[in-house]
Amino acid sequence: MSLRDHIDALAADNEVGGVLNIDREKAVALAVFLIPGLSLFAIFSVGPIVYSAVGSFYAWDTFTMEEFVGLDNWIRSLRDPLIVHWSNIQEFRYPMGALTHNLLWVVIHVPASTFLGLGLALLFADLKGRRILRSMVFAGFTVPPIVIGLVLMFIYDPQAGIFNEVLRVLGQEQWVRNWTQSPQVAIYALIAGGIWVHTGFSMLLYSSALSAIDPSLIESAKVDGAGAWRRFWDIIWPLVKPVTAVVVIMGIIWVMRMFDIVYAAGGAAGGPNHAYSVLGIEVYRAAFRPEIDYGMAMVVALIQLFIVAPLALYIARMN
Amino acid sequence: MGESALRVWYMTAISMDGVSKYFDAGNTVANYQLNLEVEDGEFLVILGPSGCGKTTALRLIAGLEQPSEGAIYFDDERVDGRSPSERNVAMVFQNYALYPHMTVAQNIGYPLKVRGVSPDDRDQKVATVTELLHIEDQVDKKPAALSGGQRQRVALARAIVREPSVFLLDEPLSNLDAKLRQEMRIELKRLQNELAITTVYVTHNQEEAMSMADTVVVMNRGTIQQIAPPQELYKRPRTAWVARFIGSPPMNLFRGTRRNGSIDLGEAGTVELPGKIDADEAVVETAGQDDASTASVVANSARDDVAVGVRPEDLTVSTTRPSSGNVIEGRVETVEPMGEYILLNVFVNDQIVNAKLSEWTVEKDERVYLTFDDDDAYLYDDGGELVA
Amino acid sequence: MTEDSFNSTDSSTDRNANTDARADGGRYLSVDEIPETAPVADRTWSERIADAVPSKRRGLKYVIAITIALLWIVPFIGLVMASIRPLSEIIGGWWHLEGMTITFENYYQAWNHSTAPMGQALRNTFIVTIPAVLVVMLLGVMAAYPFARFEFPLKRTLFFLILLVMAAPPELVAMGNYNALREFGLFDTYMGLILVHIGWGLGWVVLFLRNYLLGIPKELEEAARIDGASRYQIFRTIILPLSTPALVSVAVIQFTWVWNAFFFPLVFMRSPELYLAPQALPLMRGRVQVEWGLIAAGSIMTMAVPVILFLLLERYYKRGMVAAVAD
Repeated sequence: MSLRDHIDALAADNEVGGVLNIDREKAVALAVFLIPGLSLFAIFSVGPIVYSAVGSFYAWDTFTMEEFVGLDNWIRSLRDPLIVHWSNIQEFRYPMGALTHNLLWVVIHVPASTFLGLGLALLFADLKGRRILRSMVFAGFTVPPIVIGLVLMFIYDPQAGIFNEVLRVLGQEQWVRNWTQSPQVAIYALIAGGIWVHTGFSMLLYSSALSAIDPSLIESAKVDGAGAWRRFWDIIWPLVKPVTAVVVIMGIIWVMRMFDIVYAAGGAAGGPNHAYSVLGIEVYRAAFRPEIDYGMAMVVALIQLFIVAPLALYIARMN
Repeated sequence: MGESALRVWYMTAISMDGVSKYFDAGNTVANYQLNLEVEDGEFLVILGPSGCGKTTALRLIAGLEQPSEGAIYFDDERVDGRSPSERNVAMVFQNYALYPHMTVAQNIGYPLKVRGVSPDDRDQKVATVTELLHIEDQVDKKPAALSGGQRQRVALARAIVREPSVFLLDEPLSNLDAKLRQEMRIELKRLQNELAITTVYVTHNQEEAMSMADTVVVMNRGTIQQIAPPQELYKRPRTAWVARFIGSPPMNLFRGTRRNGSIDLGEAGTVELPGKIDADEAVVETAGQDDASTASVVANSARDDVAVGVRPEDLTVSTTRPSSGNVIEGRVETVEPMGEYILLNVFVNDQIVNAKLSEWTVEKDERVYLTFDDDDAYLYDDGGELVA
Repeated sequence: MTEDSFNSTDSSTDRNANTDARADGGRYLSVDEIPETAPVADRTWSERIADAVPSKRRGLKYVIAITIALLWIVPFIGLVMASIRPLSEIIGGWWHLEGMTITFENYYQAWNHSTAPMGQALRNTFIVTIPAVLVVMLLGVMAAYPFARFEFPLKRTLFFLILLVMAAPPELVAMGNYNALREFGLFDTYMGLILVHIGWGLGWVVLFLRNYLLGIPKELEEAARIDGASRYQIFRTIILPLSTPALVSVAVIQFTWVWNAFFFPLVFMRSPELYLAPQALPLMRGRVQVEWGLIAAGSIMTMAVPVILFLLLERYYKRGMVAAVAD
């Protein structure tokens, strides 16, 4: 990367003694800088991932690895109705399995929070006090997700919840219910809450992309007689389009990692009869709640990674 | 003043012996077989167009780069492979590289601090150099609050404060405006005279090179074209490339063929250069005992394609054909008044030729005759080497 | 005093104006600043009002924007209201303002809760969060420096691993870390959880700081090398001070992440007296009737720390967030 390093590499074969000194000095420096951080990273992040990848092919006696069983854990997990519940999917009845629920989050939550984020970013872009407005929308993203989950329970409470009060005021009494505990609708109520929290993040990314646009571009379009709609499609959208990929992928990553909000609303079961369980919940239950099934926990966590990893690498490649 | 304290520095001669530098595993050659001697206390300027390898040469001396081949000596000590801090060099960077988070005083004191000089000694030396460079009022400011010229002075102060044995400057004036550049040129020369420190200065600006250097090294494409004092560089450019590079506007080169003791320039006419062509034969006779460049002349002397070079200021322009001498015929393309002189662009044989006039005596499209003395002409062979 | 009275000043009113100025705390011009003639109003009143008040379309935009922003925080307003009212009023609806009783009883009870005492839980959260943030910052910037400046073997592989870990869900490392911490005897200890957080956070911190360090001009380091500084001196005196803004971003974001984390404490902290605040919150629900007041008060106390930090260092938080994902 640096020229100096090219030289160091070239000079490695050189017989000049001083160069060797530099090399040794550099090797020591590299070790001093890298080893403390990388060893903790290796022990507590990379190691456990490798452990899970290997462990997913072994039988487990609670926390102890037993014999190699090939794809047994994988097949068993993918057939488990807690992960994918085929018969319920055909009838479109919850629970449909954690993986299905996660994908439903992706399909509804990600587009909604992306559009809302772009909309709010555009709405706030040229207003006075936009920093305060943005912070009000973004604040939810800094709140512990477990609190978000509890707040959602509070909002959707049949008596104390403001959402049901709004329904009553609108004369929709028949809809009043304990939303987070009603199996067939609860997941939509939670997704709405997810959108509420996550839109602030999408808006933040879009806002920073918008503020990077040279104002003279927009002014010159105005001079050329382009209306607001034309200005958006011809100038603003092409310039913020690359950010959309980041917003969408970050949204998918966030949704695939969903745990705290679901746990707060539905506990370790993921709602009544697992009605809105997600993959994270299933990992936790398989690994740390009886009956402990370490093999399945590892498989499910790896499925989470497989869905997200290509997207993250795509972002990295993009830059 | 503490100048006397600063002047007893130990000086160093630098020599580069066959130094080459490759990047990207040998695909890019920055320096090829450089041989260079810098004497104690000499002011040496490396001059060349951008990308010619001059900055790499400087960085090799500094120790920021290590040579791929060859050796570098400071006096008799071999220093390649050593880190910059082991060489006691100081360097001023093109963009000054002032530490933005430190005040001027901290910037200047930094080289002393990392060497463990006590705060009291440090303050004293910083005070001495800031006085020397007239920036004693700026010491508590951050670099961002300084003007370009002041930053330049801080960078110089930081370089000289620790009394280096070699002083390296990489295009130090290129970020300044014209007036300030003129001022700093004088300042730098004064400083170098006072400190008498071995200095290597890299620039693409020939005016800087000519006005400040004891010796100029002209580089192109990683190789040294010529090493000479400024005046000699102008008077005897050793290659056609140097001839075109030094002087503004550049030297005119007329392509031609040698034929029967004269040179045929095609439609433009024929010139006789008796002294020059004889000299060519003289070189052939002495070739056996001379250096490599003469040998190449020998190899090329059989060929007939040559170029005749004449500087714009050595051309005389007239509207009537002179009866004798070297005459080249052409048509005036443009007349550009430059203030101190008038620049003519003359169309000769598909080629634009520059000539300098003191008075506005010709008009566009006029037919003119350019003459020059034998002594002012340079003859270059097919390989671009000076024949005579 | 109107503009007209300035207009007709003679020397005696000048003096008055001057004394007035002193009495009125500099509200008026001092004598020598009073111009000979009255300033000519270059715009009429109606024009000024027209300029100050946005056009109808723009006005509508403001109304919509402010309404949306307010609606966005209604759930949090409800949370605050619930935290300061008795349970009976919360069940009746926190939005009914008549006969409102303000009480801090919920906070008191939440702080001293029998199964989930927030006082202790908050203290535990600080004990875990502060070292986890400080160590990640230091080790992160140290590791990021070679990634930004040197070539070394396995660099690309390490880079890939960092990206992979950033994509991984926290659940993926839970099983391995659970067994490892039991092995080391660090399970159910502050130290164990701190180490897990450090290992987990280092990935993004190294990547983030590397991108920042790439933006620091190389000449500064070369100048320092020529000035005689060793690699360590360069790191300490040049790189560290210059990366302060990025380190503040790292501190805020990592603090928020560790403080808010729920899954790791849930898995690794099993003794009730070691529970962290996010972990303790769901335990306050109560058996028969949900104790909204306690949950609200506990939630407010838990979220106050990251929210206040965000408001104080908003610029660094937002810049860091954007840079972390967009760079």
